[in-house]
Amino acid sequence: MIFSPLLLILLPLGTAFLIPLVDLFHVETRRLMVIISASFSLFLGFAALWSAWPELLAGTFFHSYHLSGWLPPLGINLAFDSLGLLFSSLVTLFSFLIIVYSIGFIGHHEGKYYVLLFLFQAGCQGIVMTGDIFNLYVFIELSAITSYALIAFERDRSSLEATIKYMVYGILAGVFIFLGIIIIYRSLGTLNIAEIADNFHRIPLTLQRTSVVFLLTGLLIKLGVFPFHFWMAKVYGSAPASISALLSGTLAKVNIYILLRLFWVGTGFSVLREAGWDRFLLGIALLSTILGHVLALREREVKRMLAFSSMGHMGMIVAVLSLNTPLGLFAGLLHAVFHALMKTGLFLSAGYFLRFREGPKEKRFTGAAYRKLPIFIGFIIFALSMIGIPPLNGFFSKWFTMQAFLEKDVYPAIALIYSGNILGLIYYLPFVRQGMLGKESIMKQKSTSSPTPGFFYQERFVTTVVYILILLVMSSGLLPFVFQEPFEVMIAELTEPIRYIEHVLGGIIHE
Amino acid sequence: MSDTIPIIEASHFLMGFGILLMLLIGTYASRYYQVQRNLFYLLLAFFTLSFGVVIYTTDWIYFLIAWEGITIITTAMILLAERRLAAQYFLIQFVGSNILYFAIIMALGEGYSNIVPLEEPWLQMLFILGLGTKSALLGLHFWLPPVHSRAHAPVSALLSGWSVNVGFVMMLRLLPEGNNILFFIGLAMIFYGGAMAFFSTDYQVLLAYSTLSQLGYIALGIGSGTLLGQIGAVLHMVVHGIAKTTLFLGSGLWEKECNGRIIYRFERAFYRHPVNAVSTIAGFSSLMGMVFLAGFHTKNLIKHGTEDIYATGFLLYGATLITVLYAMRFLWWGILKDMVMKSVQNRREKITCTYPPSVSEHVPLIIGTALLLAFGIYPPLMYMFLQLEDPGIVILWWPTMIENILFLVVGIALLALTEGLFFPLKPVPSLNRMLGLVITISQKVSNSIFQLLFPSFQYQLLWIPLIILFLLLWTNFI
Repeated sequence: MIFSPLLLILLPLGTAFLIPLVDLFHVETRRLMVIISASFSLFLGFAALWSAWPELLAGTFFHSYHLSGWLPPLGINLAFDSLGLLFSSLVTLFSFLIIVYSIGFIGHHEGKYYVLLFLFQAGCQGIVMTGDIFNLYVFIELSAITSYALIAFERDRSSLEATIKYMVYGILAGVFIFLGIIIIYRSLGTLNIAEIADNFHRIPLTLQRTSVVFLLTGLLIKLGVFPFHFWMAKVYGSAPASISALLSGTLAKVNIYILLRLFWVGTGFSVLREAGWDRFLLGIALLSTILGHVLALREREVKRMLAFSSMGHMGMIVAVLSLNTPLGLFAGLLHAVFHALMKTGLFLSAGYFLRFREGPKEKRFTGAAYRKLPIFIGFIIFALSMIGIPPLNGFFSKWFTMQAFLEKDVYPAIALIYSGNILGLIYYLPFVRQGMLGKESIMKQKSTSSPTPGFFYQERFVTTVVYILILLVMSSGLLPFVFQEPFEVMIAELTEPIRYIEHVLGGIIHE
Repeated sequence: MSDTIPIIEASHFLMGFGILLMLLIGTYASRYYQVQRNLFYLLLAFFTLSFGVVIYTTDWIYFLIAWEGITIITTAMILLAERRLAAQYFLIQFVGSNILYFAIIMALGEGYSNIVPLEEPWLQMLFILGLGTKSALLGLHFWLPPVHSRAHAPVSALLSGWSVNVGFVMMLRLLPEGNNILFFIGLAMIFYGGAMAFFSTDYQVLLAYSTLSQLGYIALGIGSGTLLGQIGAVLHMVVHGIAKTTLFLGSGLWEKECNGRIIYRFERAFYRHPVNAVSTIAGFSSLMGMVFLAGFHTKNLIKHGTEDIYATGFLLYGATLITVLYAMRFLWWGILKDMVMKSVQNRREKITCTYPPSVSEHVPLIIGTALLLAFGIYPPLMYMFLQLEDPGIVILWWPTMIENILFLVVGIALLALTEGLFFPLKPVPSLNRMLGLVITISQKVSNSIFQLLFPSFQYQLLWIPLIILFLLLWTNFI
């Protein structure tokens, strides 16, 4: 790689600290800085991906960075492997899109908002890059704390309620993850993930399982899998659309990364399998799939509906990953990437209608088609992709998911995916219908969009981002096989954790 | 001659006539759609493309993409007429597509990596279910009358004349050996569709049920698994497609001319739109299987292919009688009544046409009628297009003509005795109630699950210790 991976964390972190300073002197400069920093971060992400691509395909991609030159297992290190690269690219891409979107979208207290957003980005990048389990915890908390503040950004009653609820859940999840880490550290005396992976079998069985239970519970709370799904609808429904998109598109996928990193590499999947917890995971994930889709049927508010749909899809991803077959992992990773694209698109396009319209929240979606037809068509395309219409990308990830379930003879899961598709159509249809109503009233209504000083209209930022997402969803549907080769490398890394251990520890491997 | 129909040649044949029908519909639509004409043409072009992919591809994924393409394009076409109808149509087709996805996943699991004939009966059934939604097999046909009667005339012509064939082409490729269940479904469809058409009072509903009845013949031919049955089915797809396209396009003209589609209110239709009236008569005669029209030959082929199976030959006489009855009933009320009943003076009254058809509307009707006649008078033309030698059924012209005349006499006698078989008006069928019920029930279920699952906050948090305990003790349970 042509630059240090540390830059991907430091850049957003540095921007976050600079924003308040610059804000004191000149607001315009701050705006410019936000855009430049986001673009530079995107450039770095793509440069990383571009330069790493040949190594990625060859299966030799690995970069580590030792803070202050201290080698592992003593020092803190960044361990950037191909799985990390995938999720880091996702974080970079979505952070950039949402920062650009927010320029036209937020419109108040922008300084604070961007500080939080950049900190959030730094946290997510840290999670996917660190090779140290305590650092992982710190970054999890960093992203969690910033997201609490971001969810409450509207400052009304419902968003405060949502934040408190999310905070209680988030803190409990953090505590459990911390407890798990403490048990591991107490037993092994190391915090390095590779070292833990190498030695986990040395911990007495009871302690092994206790630590896994705590880590797993914490992660399931973060993922919003049944029975920890209670915060989702409230949080996604009350946060600004850009933040809901960030939580459901990016943070949820980063949590999937943590799940993979901890249980496939850190503890080894055999711990889960021997205890029979993989079946438990499959069971509750499938339960939350169907519950998510069924609960979405009752919602009349678009963001709450999307939240329940998210719950359904996250359940599906966890379920197919828990099969622990190469095809299952491939399908899970593919759906994670595609779901991030689709859900971000849905939240952002719905957010556009909610933001630039007046009146009560439930009614703002009415007449969306007459307000801005291309965005509304985008909403329909994302929804069609969600319910698995070929050749949009959702179809392909579901296709592989079903094959993975078929391979393991999990027929109920296949039935659940089909019913999820059909229920999906039933809960998206009322919104499409609502969007086509009330032509006359829309024509009279004026846009609430105003020019951002020095730039063009606010709306333009928002619509551009949605168009980019439409393009991404359609093109990734046409080229799903681009993902095949790199994903196979990542899957090999997950199924043979020894490669990760060798990369990090450089051959210092215990028996 | 081989045992099964050469599928590539059949695909070329279907594709060729598919393009011809699209051109006819496109010509007709140039006046019908004055605002959204280009959009309609674009959709028509995409439809033709998708249709081509469906019938030619051997890859499951391309097939699915094209299949869903057809669903989306036809939905967009219905959307031109009515939003709610389009949503209902899409929902129903989507359920069918999902059954099809499931069938394909299962087929892949059984080792069918390409589209090839299927061996397993359960897999065949799954595919019949999945394909049957778009092809309106009996039991999955409920969407057809509401959609055909409420969509615009060119769209109905496309759906009824051509879109329904897609599923049958696939069935032909997947089930070259035939399938008994498909056979019986086909038989039931002929009678059910015919009976429903007989009692219809709305012209387009009548045509929709007639489509159902005629699709029964295709299903019968494919289900029989005999070569004659399959050739008959393929030819009937085209012949029925031409006839139904002509009839539906004509129905659009009638609708505008007579301010509605109630068949009792077609006043002096023949004098107002003579060309349309002739093409309507030709279309219905072909459906009835009258001599000198193409339907005669295709039905004969299917009859020959299936008559040895379960006394079907005998049953098909009854089927023809039903077709004759509903066709005669419409022709009487719609066209012939005024010609026969009105006095000579009345007939000479100046006819004022409220909607004079244009050339672009007449051309498709004339071409359709000419094709039906050409195929009827010189059937080798059909085999030539199909690149197949004449299957060599000896058709005795005189007995069949007498048979035809007998059916007509029975029809006329029945009409005369019952004063034209007048039935009270019926409302146009609608999907609103059924789908409304589905949505209400699903929301109620969702609401009750929500109330069950979302207790107050402290109880929600109780799940956490419960799950931790459960996980810790889990190893004791298993």
